[in-house]
Amino acid sequence: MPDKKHLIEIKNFYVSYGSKEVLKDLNFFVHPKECFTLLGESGVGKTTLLRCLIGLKKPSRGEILVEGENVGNMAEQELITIRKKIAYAFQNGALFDSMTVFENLALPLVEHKKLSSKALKRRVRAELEEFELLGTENLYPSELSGGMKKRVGIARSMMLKPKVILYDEPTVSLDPYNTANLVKTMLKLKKKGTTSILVTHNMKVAMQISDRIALLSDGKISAIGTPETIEKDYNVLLKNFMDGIKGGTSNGKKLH
Amino acid sequence: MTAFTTYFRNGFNFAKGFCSLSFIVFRELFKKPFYYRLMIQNMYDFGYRLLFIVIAFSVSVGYVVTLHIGLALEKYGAKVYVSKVMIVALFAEVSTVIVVFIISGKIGAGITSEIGSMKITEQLDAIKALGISPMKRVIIPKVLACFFIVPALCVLSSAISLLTSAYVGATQLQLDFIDFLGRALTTPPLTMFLFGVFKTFIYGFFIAITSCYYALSIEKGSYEIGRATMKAIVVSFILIIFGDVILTSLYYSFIHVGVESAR
Repeated sequence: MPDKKHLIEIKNFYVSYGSKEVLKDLNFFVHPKECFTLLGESGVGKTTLLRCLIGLKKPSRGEILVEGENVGNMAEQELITIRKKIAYAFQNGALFDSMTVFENLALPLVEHKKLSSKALKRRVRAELEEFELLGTENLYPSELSGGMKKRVGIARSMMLKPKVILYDEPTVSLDPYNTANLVKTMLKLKKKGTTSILVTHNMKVAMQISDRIALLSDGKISAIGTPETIEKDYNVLLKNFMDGIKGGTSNGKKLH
Repeated sequence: MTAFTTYFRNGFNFAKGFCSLSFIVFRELFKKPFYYRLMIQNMYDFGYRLLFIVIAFSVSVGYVVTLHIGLALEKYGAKVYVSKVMIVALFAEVSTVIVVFIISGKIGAGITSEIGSMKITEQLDAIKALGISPMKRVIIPKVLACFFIVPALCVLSSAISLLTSAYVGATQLQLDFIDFLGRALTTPPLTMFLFGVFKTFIYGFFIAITSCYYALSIEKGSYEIGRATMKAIVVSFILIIFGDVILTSLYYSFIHVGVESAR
């Protein structure tokens, strides 16, 4: 029986691309309202894991339980319900370039909620205000800066008020000012009680907003714990990760 | 031998993908939600993009071919039959197959590059992630728009070419404009007109599915978009050429023979 305390539970999880096994025997869970961060080198399978969580990729083995339901087995029609609960903020925003910012934000509401034109405008305006994007509603994605694109991407994914948001390297290629702005937005959402899974290389951001951090290496979790535990107990692993050195010991601590 | 094997394998993969995409499109076509407005918007985009070139081509074909055939027939005192030759040439081949080639080059390339770039910039995944079906929202409206706009443009092209032809007949060959049109429209049986239109629906479907198939098979990056677009155009041309041979043979073997024997 799945644990009701866990909003998301990953059990004996494997993912392969062809003959290459990217994720091997992954096991972890995420509590409601928690911010769980996945750290790890590029290509270790962090984005793959997020894609599996909303059914964009199927695992080769194992279970991904969201509120007790196995996403890995779901048909496309059933996944629509899951995708309303779990939002995905893509690395580059993945905004629809033929639509304005307003149309991008309105799309999920037009598709899933029956709102009047007035209510729709009000709702989009409120979201734009929330994400400090007022004034951009008539712009096309090509007219936005990198930071704005990411904020619009997150705002769009929040339109259906999901329970969980998955951030795929949200601060990558952003300057410190835009990074700080984005972190502010993420903290605001966390404060509102949105559960989040963050994939990042940015240690500072991870330490700032995470409740727990997992370090992925060679397709497995090599360390897991609160930011303080990770910093204290797994400092060699962490230092190696930050210095670009693979592997290392974990200060003699037993891994998760 | 290796090149032959590669061609054979690619051809087999395409046939498999074409059939499976056509099946999915048919299966999803009758399921809610329906995106009529997107289909109409796509039809408008395709039609608008092609209107000028189709009109220019139709006028030039009507003018040039009428002049060539008319002057050739004049030598034998048969220039009055130019309208009869033109109508068959226009409806059966020129305004169907050649206009479809032009459409394939423009609309097909547009579909492949648009959907292909949506795929590599994760926009198709973003649509899915929002709980929307990219098949229903992106692919099907384009397939239907192409399916309906190709016959519309072909009929328009035939009409423009015929009017130009009648104008050339009246001004250069000293034929009566109304008589030219009357002879032209009463010459072929109705089945030939219907067959001409029917063929264009099939070609529209070929173009749309082929273009979508190649767009969806893009995986690695933007450099693939150009290749996929080129493949989509070439394969659409091949399908149209073979389709034309097969459909025309079927028409003259069954429908036309049936009509003639019923007369």
